[in-house]
Amino acid sequence: MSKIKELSEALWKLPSQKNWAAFSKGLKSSGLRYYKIVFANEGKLNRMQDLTKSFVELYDSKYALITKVPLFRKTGNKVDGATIYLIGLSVSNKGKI
Amino acid sequence: MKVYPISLLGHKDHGKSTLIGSLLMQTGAATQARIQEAEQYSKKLHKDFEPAFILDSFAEERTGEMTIDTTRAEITYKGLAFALIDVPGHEELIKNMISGASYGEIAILLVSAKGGEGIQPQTKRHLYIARMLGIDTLIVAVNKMDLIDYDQEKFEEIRHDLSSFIEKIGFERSKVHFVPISAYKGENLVKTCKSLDWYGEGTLLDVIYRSVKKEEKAVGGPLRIVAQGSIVSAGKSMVVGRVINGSIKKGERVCFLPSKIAAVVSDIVVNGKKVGRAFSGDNVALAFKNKINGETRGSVIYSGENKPSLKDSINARIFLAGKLGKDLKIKFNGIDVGCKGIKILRKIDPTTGDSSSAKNIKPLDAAEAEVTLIKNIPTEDYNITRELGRFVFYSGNKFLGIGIIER
Amino acid sequence: MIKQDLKSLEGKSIYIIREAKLKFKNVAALWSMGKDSTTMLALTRKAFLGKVPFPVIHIDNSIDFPETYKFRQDLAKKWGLNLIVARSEIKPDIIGSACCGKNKPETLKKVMKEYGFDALIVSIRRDEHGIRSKERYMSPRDEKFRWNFKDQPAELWDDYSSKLDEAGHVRVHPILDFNEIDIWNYIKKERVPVNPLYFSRDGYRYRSLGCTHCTTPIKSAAKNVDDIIKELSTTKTEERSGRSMDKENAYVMERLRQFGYM
Repeated sequence: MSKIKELSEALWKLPSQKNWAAFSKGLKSSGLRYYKIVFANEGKLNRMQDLTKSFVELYDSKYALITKVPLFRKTGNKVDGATIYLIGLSVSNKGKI
Repeated sequence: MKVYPISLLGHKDHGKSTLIGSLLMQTGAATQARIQEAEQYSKKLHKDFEPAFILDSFAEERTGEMTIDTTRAEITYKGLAFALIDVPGHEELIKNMISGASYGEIAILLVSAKGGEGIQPQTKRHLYIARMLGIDTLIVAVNKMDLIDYDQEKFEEIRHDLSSFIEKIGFERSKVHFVPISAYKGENLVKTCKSLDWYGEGTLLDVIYRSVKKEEKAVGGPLRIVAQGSIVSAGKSMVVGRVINGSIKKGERVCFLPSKIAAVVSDIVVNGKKVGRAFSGDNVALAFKNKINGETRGSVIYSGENKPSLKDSINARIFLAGKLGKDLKIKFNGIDVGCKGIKILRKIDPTTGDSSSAKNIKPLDAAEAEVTLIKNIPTEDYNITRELGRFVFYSGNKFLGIGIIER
Repeated sequence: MIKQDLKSLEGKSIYIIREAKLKFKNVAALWSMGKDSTTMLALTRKAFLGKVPFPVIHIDNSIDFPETYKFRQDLAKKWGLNLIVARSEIKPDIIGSACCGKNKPETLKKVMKEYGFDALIVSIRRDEHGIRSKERYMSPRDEKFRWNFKDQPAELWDDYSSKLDEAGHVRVHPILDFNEIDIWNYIKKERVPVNPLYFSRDGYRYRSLGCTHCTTPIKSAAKNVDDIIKELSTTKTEERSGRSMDKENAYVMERLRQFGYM
């Protein structure tokens, strides 16, 4: 678990492609199972830049919150979504609606 | 479950969308969301609840109170499923009507019983085209009975007036049924209505139900396949197309038209599976022992002695929706064939069924004509093989009309 | 919801997919990894004896579900798909929708132009939304993707539309006649792979899939295809009720269609 927390920390410092790739690789042995996306500004998402205000909560198989990661990837000044790096996890619908 | 397509014809004010809306509601096919949406729009437009809004989803239709395009609504009744295809009745939109009507072999003609709205030339033209398109069963729903106090005499008058025209343009009396209804009030559609108890033949859905006969797939008859073209699978070329009549067996010797190439079938694939024999209605991929050279798109495959005739001059009954223009061509089984000329033999007035010897026709006229093409196409009489006996006229990219081949 | 005869639906779809490939020079298909466009690809494989003989385009706004990306990866490999991924931006469009809406067609326009596609296979169904019941099997769009619903070409006797002009293209709708329940019955019959998001987790499942931002799940205990078929046989709610974009009002969808939204 501590390893994946380290990889998450790295993403908060710099969500580069390299750090995301490392995180994605680390996911497999992390014990994480579920994700939940929290969109910032009450879910308002108006442009690419708004992605930086949103984040993803990551849970283990017992739905315990383990860590949070950004929703975006940064390439130079360019921002885009990073959900593709969460491949392997399943969406958590707990507490929906 | 097989879904039976039923075309809905009639003049724009006679309540077609209202009829479909009411049927959707009464048979339970409309979702709550759609009903609520219709309620909201009725309120917004300061109207009582209008069932037509369940169907119409275009803003312009709601405010213009006219249906613009072909729309399909599906309902079930006593274990059968019907797709009601709403066909616009407005004169300028006649080509859309043609488009809609081509899907069904049963049609409902909606006429208003209200004074002055009775039977109009457009309505008669719709019927003529419907018959030309191959519709042979007609249910005439006499609408707005509530506005004429459910008067049986007036209903019989309408039946009498329409019957002679309907029979003149080729419908058989036994396949034409008249039913009194009120689409707006939802009367005699699904449930019987006390005010119409003089009518003994049941509700509209009962009559539709009785008219729908189980269509048996024709296995017999001579083989006809219309080829869509050739595809390559695992390095092997296959001809794909639809069997429109008869059946085809592995090992059978068949022939292509117009190329006259003969070939022996080595493999038949239907819906992804190899089969020994394919039947009418199947979409096939065929492999042959010998190579099929040249373009196969638009070709007809037959076997034995019974074959379509190759012709570059065809006698046809035509209906024009637009004005004859330049770059005239016909679309026939997936290919465009240039048209050298159209010679009018007899003009037919589709609103009366009468013919005259006039040599010129206008849009919305029908005619018997001789159509000359730039090359041979494999054709048959429309009444023998529909797919090989019908075509669409174009002038450049513009849809012009339709033709059926009659000998 | 009416269950239709799967064999005749399948035959008609195969006919139209073949027609698209043989009538036009350069065809592509849109693939969203949802149940409808995946069923369309399964039908394509039947039409072309195990192959998908044209490129498939995913318009990707970079915040699709991870499950969706996984599904894309796996099936593209398994079926040997020629996948084109085109990135779309998140920005407000004319109706205020930021993630999908009109931004995806903008990206699609670029891809269509870049590759010179003259026909595009789109997996819409007539029962999805009122406005979609107006569609034809083949529907021409002009250069700006506009759909002129008032002057649609006639479509009778298997004679389908051609392009309006050089710059435009034709939308091809091979599964137009399928209802939602037919799709699931077909998936069951043919064992078509499906995105796991359609199945219940924590008491909820996704009935119609968009991206992570515009899709909400419905309450459901349906854990497999059979459960879904059972659930749909009794439901009275609309399929796209979990898609925020459709809720605004009926005109939104109409405007989107005219602007080229699939």
